[in-house]
Amino acid sequence: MKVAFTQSGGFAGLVKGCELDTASLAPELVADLERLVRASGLSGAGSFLSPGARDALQYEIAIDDGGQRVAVSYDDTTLPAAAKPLVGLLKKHARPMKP
Amino acid sequence: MCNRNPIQCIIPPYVHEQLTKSSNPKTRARAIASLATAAAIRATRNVVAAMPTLFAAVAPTATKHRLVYTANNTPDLPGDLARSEGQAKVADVGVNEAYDYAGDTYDFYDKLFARNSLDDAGMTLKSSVHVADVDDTGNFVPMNNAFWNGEQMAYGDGDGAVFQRFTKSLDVVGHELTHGVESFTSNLTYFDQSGALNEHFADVFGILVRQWKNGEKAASANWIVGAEVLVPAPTRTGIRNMEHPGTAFQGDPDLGDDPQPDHMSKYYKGPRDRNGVHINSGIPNRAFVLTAQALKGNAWDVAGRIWYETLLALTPSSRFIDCAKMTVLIATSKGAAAKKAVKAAWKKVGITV
Repeated sequence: MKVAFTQSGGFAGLVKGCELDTASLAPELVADLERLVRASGLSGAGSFLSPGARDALQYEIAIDDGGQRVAVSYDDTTLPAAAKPLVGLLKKHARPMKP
Repeated sequence: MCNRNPIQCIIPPYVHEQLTKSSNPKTRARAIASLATAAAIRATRNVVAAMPTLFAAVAPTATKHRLVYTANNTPDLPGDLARSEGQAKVADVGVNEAYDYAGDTYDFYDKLFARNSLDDAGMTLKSSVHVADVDDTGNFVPMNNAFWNGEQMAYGDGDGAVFQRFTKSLDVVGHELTHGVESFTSNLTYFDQSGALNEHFADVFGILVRQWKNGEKAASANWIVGAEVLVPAPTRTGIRNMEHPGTAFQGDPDLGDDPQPDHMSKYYKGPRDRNGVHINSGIPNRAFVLTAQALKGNAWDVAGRIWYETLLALTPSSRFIDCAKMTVLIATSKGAAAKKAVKAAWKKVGITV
């Protein structure tokens, strides 16, 4: 499974991201990632950004597990509660990147 | 006829939709970002125009009225009411900061521009502090952010490693409340250049609240936004530098390099951050500082008034050139020196009026 994550916006406007590939991760992290992806309930492709929020963090998440593909965008005010732990994990691994 | 954003029109939406199915995660992420911004424009057009009136809560007294809540280290807004207008200080420092700085921002708009709160009709200033995020184990952790959700302010306490309490900074509080003012005035669409202007005005009035409160003159003023919310480190001085955009942090392991351009020649054209709303705001920010420095005295007296009148006059789709033209037009009514200073400032950042 491959997961690509980018965070942008927020008051600070920082752009950070990571790409996690279960083929090259430690086994404990593979288990965590797969569990959090399943629990997130994320599916399909779409963008769900609040029209009225300002300075909310935005998240782009792309998941490819061979069969199923997910490509979604949310912000802090629209991210489903079930997906928050997954975003928590991805944020932990995200590093500053060029926008 | 093309009725979408011009940039989005270059690549038809069905191509982006196809790219979201690409086997390359990077390509998919880029395609999604493009679709996201296009969808945001459509949604904004349809909804935002109606939002301010839907959400405005008129204060019982139709004058300064603050309500500060604590989210109790959860993500749930607003949380429990911790201090309301007229009540004495409480033990919670964050609650008092949100209360005091919202009051300073109210007073700034009232005394300088005779504006009665965000909607100019006494809207209640509602803030929540101690707002939390969720970590990978499902536990609540302090949020590394402050935002305006269309109805109220939300402030995190920061992780203590990079960010501290977002209520520590008067210019951050002024910035968030100015987003509220904007939703009742020009209502600049939060995407691309209009979005960068939205961020620009929030930075301008956020920092002017602080300069006004502290009596800082333009020539010697500090133009760094959000210095107090960062844990000090040699690689960071603040979140944005309005005088020298792109220099607030450099080589920082957690923040990276400040991406703000200080001139149109360095304009960010990518899709992140809703096409760079917090990035390209560096360009008009510098134009404002150059204007204020050329006019000397207090930045809020002449430059601030020109920018406030401009904020009232712009429309949701206004771009940098529209903002520049409007500031010059309004500056004309403030005298020849003001007009000259404003034109010269925009020229220095690559925008000729």
